[in-house]
Amino acid sequence: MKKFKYIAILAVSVSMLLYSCDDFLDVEPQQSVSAETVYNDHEGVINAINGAWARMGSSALFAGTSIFQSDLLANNDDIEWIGTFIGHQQMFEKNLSITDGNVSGKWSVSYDLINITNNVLANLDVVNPGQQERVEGEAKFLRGVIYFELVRFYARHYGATADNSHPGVPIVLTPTIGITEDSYPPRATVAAVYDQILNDLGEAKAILAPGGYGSNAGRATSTNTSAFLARVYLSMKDWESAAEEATIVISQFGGASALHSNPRSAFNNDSYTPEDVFMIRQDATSHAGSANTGIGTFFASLPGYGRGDAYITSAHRAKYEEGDLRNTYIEDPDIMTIADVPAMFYRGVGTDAGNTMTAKWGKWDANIPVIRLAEMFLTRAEANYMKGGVPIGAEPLDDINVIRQRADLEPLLTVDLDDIKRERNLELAFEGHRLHDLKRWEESTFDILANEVPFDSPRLVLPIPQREMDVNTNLVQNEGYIQ
Amino acid sequence: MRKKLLLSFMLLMSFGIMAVYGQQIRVTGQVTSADDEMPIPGVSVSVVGTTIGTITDVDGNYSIDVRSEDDVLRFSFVGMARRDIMVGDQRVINVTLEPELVGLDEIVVVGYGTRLRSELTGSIASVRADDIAGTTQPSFESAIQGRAAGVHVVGATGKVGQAVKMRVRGVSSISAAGEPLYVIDGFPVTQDNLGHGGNEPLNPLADINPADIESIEVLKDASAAAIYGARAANGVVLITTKRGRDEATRFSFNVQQGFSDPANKVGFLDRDQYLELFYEAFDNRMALGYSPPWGISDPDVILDILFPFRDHESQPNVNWEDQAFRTANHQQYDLSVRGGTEATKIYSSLAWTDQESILKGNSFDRASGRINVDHAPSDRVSLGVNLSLTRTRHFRVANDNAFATPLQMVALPPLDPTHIPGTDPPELNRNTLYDNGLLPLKYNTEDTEIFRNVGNIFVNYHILPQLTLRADMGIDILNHRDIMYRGRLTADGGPDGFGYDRTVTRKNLTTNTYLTYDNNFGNFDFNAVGGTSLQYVETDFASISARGFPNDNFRRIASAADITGASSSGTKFSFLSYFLRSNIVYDGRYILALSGRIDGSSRFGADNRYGFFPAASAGWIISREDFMAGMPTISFLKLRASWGLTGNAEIGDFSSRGLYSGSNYAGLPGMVPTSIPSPELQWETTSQYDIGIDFGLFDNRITGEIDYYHKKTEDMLLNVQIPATTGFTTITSNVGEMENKGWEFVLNTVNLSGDFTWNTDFNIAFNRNKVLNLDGQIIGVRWRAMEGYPIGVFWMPKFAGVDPDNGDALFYTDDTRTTTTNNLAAAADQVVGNPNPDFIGGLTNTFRYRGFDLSVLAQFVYGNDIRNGGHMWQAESFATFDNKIRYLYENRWQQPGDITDVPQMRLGVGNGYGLSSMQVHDGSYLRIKDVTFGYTLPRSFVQRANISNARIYVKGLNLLTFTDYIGWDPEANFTGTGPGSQTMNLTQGYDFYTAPQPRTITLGVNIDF
Repeated sequence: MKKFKYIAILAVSVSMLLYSCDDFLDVEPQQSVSAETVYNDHEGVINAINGAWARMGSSALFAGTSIFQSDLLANNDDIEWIGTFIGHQQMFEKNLSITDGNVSGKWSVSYDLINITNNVLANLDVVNPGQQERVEGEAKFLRGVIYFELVRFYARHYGATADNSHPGVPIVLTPTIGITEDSYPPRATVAAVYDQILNDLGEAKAILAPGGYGSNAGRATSTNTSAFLARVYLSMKDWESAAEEATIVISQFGGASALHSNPRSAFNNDSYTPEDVFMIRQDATSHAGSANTGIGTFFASLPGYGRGDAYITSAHRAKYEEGDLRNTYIEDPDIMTIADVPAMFYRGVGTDAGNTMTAKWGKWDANIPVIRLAEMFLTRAEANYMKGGVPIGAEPLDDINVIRQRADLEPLLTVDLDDIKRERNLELAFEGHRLHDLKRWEESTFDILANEVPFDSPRLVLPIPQREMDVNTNLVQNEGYIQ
Repeated sequence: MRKKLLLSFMLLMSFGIMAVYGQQIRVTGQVTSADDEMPIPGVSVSVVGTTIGTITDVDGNYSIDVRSEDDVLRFSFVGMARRDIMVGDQRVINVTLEPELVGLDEIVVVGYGTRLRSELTGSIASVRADDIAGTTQPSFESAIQGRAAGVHVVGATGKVGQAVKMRVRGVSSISAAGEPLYVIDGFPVTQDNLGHGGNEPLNPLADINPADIESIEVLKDASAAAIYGARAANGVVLITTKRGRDEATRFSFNVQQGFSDPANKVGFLDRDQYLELFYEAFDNRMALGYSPPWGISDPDVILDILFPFRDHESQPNVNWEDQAFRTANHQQYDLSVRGGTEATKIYSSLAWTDQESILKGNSFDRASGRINVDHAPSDRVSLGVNLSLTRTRHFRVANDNAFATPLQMVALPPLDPTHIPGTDPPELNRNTLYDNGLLPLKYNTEDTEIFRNVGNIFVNYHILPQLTLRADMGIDILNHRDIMYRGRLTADGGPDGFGYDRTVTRKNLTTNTYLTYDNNFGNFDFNAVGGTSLQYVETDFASISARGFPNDNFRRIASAADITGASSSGTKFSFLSYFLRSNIVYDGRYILALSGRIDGSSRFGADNRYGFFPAASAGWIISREDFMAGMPTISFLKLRASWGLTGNAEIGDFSSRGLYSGSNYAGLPGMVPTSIPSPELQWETTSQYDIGIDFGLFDNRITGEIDYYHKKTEDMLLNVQIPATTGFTTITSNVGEMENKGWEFVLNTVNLSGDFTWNTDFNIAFNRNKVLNLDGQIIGVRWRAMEGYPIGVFWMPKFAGVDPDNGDALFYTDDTRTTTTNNLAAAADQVVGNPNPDFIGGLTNTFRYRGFDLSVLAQFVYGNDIRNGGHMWQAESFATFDNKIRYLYENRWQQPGDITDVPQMRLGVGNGYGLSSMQVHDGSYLRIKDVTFGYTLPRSFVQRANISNARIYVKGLNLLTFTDYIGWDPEANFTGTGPGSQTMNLTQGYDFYTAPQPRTITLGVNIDF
């Protein structure tokens, strides 16, 4: 009997010792799903393309770096940088570091987005037939736009060599499943990158539905694809195509009457406005950041918003004519939010108060106007002027006067290239155009030591991020940076 | 009264026993202390193997009835060595008790059991209750600092309750966690930060009351640690809490109170110095031919723009450094009760501690209670419960890398007044160069409240006298809550307030079942333990943030107009393990130990789910050999050697998986890829061998240990950089090798004994870390892991000094360091510093004379570099207007021929402004860490108040620091923010506006009755 008791106890303990359950180790994540299941069905692909749009609105792309990097790098005398972020300081001084976080962040997020679009494009067959074209069009739109962003920041300008055989950026068109030999692409030529951009945007334009105000301004339409194509052609100095694409957009949006009566109304909006050709949608829970990232965090000085890092110089304000609505200014110590600023400039009241700040970027959760209709008028004016001959859509003088009259200025009687450039500079100031405009116009800028920096200076081209150079030996670094 | 009750209870018990046995022998006697020859009241006198027992009266006398002359009387008393005496033909037994000496015969806790120290074959450092209980820091880790060889503890800065960094024998991982595994009473506890991502990591171990700890053992080598398998590669810290004892119930009350100051202040420019430098920098700029800053050629105009109040009649001259600090108070009360009978033993405690940080706005408090009960209803069964409940509160300030943190106020020039001059009541100045840190101190709150319940139940069943089955189950339930409000007048909270509310619940459940077998076969002592362990950990998060509060009186989300963020999420992981260990001791001389553990984890890839971690070790106690009999000088000598494999499983819960996470585009739900699959992902494997000598000389008046170890980590869990053109920047893979090797020396000596005793404990450890192979990878940017270098080397341009002719800052163009340039952008990045110390250690001297005791702990770290991130602005040439350190003022280049390391001041344009080794300094230091002076009141005196022991003491922490470091404190440990940042092994030696350690004076009273 006693023996039996021992045996029973031993049996129980041994069974406890050997207590095994493989299921115990099968734990599924709660906020994530396995990659292999994402593209199995329609809903998964739709979710992925929506995720790509979220990436588009990240602080490293159109809700941040893509816009202010251009203005900061190209700046001559419009902006003064007094912030403490070294990367931005270096950008402002045109002495970029190969390890700069903005430079590598923009690169990484761009290719992250491209990988999503490649995945979506490889799995279109599971999308419901009725939506296949929209999804394909959006993916190609996103991919084309991002390659355009990459090539114009990380490579020398279009036309730097006669056949554009100078290095552009790597072209990746297939989804990443694992790391293989193909994961180390070299830089394609600028010509090849532009071919890819025109291909993607051309196909997107062909299969997406058109849309003016009110139809999907936060996503891709055939119309806003045309707006980006106008940008691309302008940078290629294909004046005719640029004017044609701009004309498509202007007519879709109903012409000059779609412009806000006051230029101020085009900014800090929570909803679509008639002037938004393409915008990044933001709201209180989904935005690029309210403290250290986003555009306004550098350009604003409001109570609780903005670091007041980039203020506007008196030299910039002196460029406007008397009575220009784009040069209105207010000083009011009681300003709490941008809604209290009925002007385009204000005296900062937050961090680094006392400087002149632009009112274009004053709300962290407002939509980001990436392409405003005004840009299309200016693009068409410049393209038609440069093209010469019979203008497409409208005379340059008329297009320029549309912008001037909206700013409450007298119409010009004649127009020359300097008028077009000045109007573009003032209308689109601090909206991310300056660097690309200078390169197109082949105009120099100056650094903080007043040294001339020619438009084709290596200092105006971002370095290939050092982290990328470290891991991919097939890449070559841009001129002017430590190899 | 209580005592009388107990006495009567005891008497009743002995009476009951008398009735059973009838035949009795009465033994009487007196117990005295060897220290002062005074009688000791309250000594437990019991008959071994029975429930018969009594305690001595106020005169130290006792009387007890035993059954036979073979009975053994046991005399035990806290702090005294226990004595067992056989009755024999004695009827009066007077006993002298010696103070308890920690030594070779002490019991050491090991994984799933205990061992005699003399029979250990692994390397284990122990810290005892006395060293832990006196700590005036929130958590116990600081008690280990300087006391355990090879254990590098970097304190939690001057902020209280922050994560403490502990590295056992160097850093043995790059991407996975570097902290050891913490096991309390046999159960792995929650040790990782659960705080929110916007602030520095908190320390969940601060929820443990240090006064409850009986001992801490740090398992350093593989043979000691491998029983914890896949999680033991960083070492294992075993914490054993106090238990009841088979002796008279004793109450102990401890109170301590004190105050703290910063251990060091840096010293910044005052008004006149700042202005002098400003004008000088302006003149230098103009003399070099630069255009005037912003086109303004009058420096006073610039000053007026920057500092609108500078010419106010009050002539602002603010010492902003002083604005950040305060004299902080702390207090602590502990009450505990400990005692029991042979059958039932109990330890219970209640404690309250309240500690202010030297930084304004930061404090910590903790209320804790514990009850540990052991009960043996029969010879066959014993069972027990350990339970602790804690409430911890952290009142926090912003992270070191935020304008709102108090210490960043030093960036403000003295010309910025704290308040707007002429306002009544004084209104805080919101027009400062950077955010005025006094605003967040006044209007912001960030409170973290943690409720924690760590408990377990266990049962031991003695199947055979030699075979015991143990089954236990432990829980660690942690409820963490962050409530934050940022006021409408602060930069982060404006214009209408910001609120944030977050809860985290962590459920950590472990169950162990194992058999222990102990037997002797002739000259062989055999011991084996084997069993299984399951652990399941589940964490849930929920948070909400909002803006738009009616005014600052409303601080909860219910009053907010806009919800700006809301989220809930969860994660889990599990371990399933089998373990086996056996020890064989032959003739008390030869020891062999083998162990193995199989660990499976949900974290590992599907293709690699289980790992095997074996260890073997051997020891030879040479001093017990016959041939050593002729060498009485050598009282103890043991050789030991060990080898084993351990793992590191502290990767993300789902790192092996290719995953997509949710991401919305302005209300449109979507998914984005977050990781690339890595199905073969497994633990990191560290193989370690250790050779050691333990020795004792002159009757163990000199004892010591010497260890050499070599740790090689393979299959490192690396976030391997991949081309971002893939859409991903890293993949978690098992790649690479790293080694740590080094020497450890421990020497404990009794220098004087007798009336005046003097003991010295010394330890020093040399560790060399080297990254052997990363498959060509470079990990990190400014802190790097690179093949052939120690982990975490600083990578940036090398400052070459100042050109004596023109005051230019010079940098080496490349790593040959032959040519220099004054253009920082043209200087190549290179290795400019190593954050790993050459050696660390501590020296404790303890003196006793009659009732007086004095102990002095000096702790040192040598040969490590520190990157002072704040120096980029505090110690540069006026490219920025931040206030500067006085060192800059005193040493700047002014005229040709000046030999200095501070370049010429140049307003706005700077001179070598930017990241370089100019901000890297030697971080070696020697610190008088802990000085404790105590006086134990004569027993004859306190007895009258029915007190058995009373001691008053005064304790000084960080009284003196010897260092060349330019900054607040070389013990700097800014880990960055976010939940995982405490695990970062690369970012070592970083000082970023990091508060210094406090210099603390504490007065304490300890009463036992």
